[in-house]
Amino acid sequence: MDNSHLAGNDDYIEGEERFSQIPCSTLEPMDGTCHIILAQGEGALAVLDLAKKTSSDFWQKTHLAYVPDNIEPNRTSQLQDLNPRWFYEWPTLDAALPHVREIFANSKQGSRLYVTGTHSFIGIIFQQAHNAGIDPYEALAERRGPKTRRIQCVHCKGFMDNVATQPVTCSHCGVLLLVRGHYSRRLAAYQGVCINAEDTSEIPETKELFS
Amino acid sequence: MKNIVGNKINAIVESITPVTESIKRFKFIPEDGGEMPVFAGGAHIVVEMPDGDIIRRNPYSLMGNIDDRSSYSISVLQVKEGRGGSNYMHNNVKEGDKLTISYPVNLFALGWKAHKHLLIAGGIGITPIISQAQTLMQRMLPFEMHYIARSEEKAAYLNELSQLYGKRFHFHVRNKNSRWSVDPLLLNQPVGTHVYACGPEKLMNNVVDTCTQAGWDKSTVHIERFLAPASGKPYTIELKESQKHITVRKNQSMLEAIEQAGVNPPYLCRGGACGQCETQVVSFSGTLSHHDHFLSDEEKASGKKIMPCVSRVEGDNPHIVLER
Repeated sequence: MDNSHLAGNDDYIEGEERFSQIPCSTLEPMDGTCHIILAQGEGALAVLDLAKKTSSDFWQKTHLAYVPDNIEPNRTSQLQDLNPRWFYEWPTLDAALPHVREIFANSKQGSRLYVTGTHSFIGIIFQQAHNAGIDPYEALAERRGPKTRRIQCVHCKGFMDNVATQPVTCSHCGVLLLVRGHYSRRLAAYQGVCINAEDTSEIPETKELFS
Repeated sequence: MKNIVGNKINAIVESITPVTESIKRFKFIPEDGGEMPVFAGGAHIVVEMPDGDIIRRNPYSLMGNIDDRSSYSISVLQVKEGRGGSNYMHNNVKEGDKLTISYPVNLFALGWKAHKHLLIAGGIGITPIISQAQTLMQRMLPFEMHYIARSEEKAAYLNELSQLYGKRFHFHVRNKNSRWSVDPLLLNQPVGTHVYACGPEKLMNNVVDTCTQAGWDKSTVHIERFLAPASGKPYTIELKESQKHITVRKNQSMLEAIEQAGVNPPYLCRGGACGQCETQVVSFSGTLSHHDHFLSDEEKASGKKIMPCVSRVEGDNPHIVLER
């Protein structure tokens, strides 16, 4: 199969960090009047690591929310042991979102945001934070868990979560999509574009790139 | 494209209106009858005042109607014991006079990502806040305006602002008998708030300190500092590249003395904030008296850089050699 038309298109190359992506680093305590920490799945471990670097009064002004997402082992009791002023647990991101919006809406300027979990989780929380007026400068993110991507098909506008392969078939319209490095913070998704529009019989090899 | 920084406008003083006992409003129209350049809330111009053998250049915030391109308006507080610029505006400038003004420069622009704008003005610091409020009102963006003055009589435009902005407008008297504090206000803002402060040094430092302690990101705290250049004992400068030896007088800034000698360094704010006139120091005797807010503490301590718009040389045998 001839992939020469993709040569020079670094969207096709794995692992690149793009400017439009949310910069992920390591959670560090920031100066702030209030801390909002949201952890999904394995992100709980990032919170426990953060706790090794915090002063005791840090947790007195902290909202800590845990979204286990059925990921074992459950870390609820370990997180509760940190004694945050407010502790919440919601089973999934969808269950958490209305509460997260509520917390953001009631926060004062000077609050700091910490988000950890899969890239999809981080992206959607940052999208909500942006809508609430929280600037990326006031937030830190740490990715924990698989590198799967949330993508939007640019043709039918459908979203797919946990995409691990390149290319991927759109679960909404069936088009074979190239997962681009182009990330939209507004949509909290990578852009998926038809990979074989000229000749649909051309099927590039499927590789597991995001796992 | 032509760089507009440094471009000048020949203007006529169309009218002078007393606002309070010590504040006058000056309205400028372009000499050629055309339109003034567009400006946005927070912008200022530099007014050139030929005063004897020197040209004074003072920055003043534009506070006229942002939609009206036929004229610019500024408000000038007379500082009797000041260096002379405001006295010149109050005593020497008459209606019909021709003055040279700069293109507008904005070092106090609104942050468009903000979800709420909190405007804080102390005294004459109200002038850039007025044009910001106009901009916000025009775009129907949420804002709250706080105006602090020693008394109602000293507060320029108090009635107009109160009528224009109604519930968005708050006036606070701050004097010996009434200590209004900005802190509770700053500690109770919703996320996404940007703060803008212009006024006395103490008020602005208060805003910066409280916001920093409360964890506001730097990008959300906007401060307009117009420092008047410090006065002091005369001293001498050697300009190495231009091969000139000049004296800086008591009420003159280093930048003004350099300009008087025919050398024209770039500048924007003339108040120690923007960094445009930053100059390399070759050597000096005496001590460098840094008054700007631009150089870092390390840079100031290094003795290698100076902002000639506000800083001076003091001490014994004060002398400085500059890379200009």
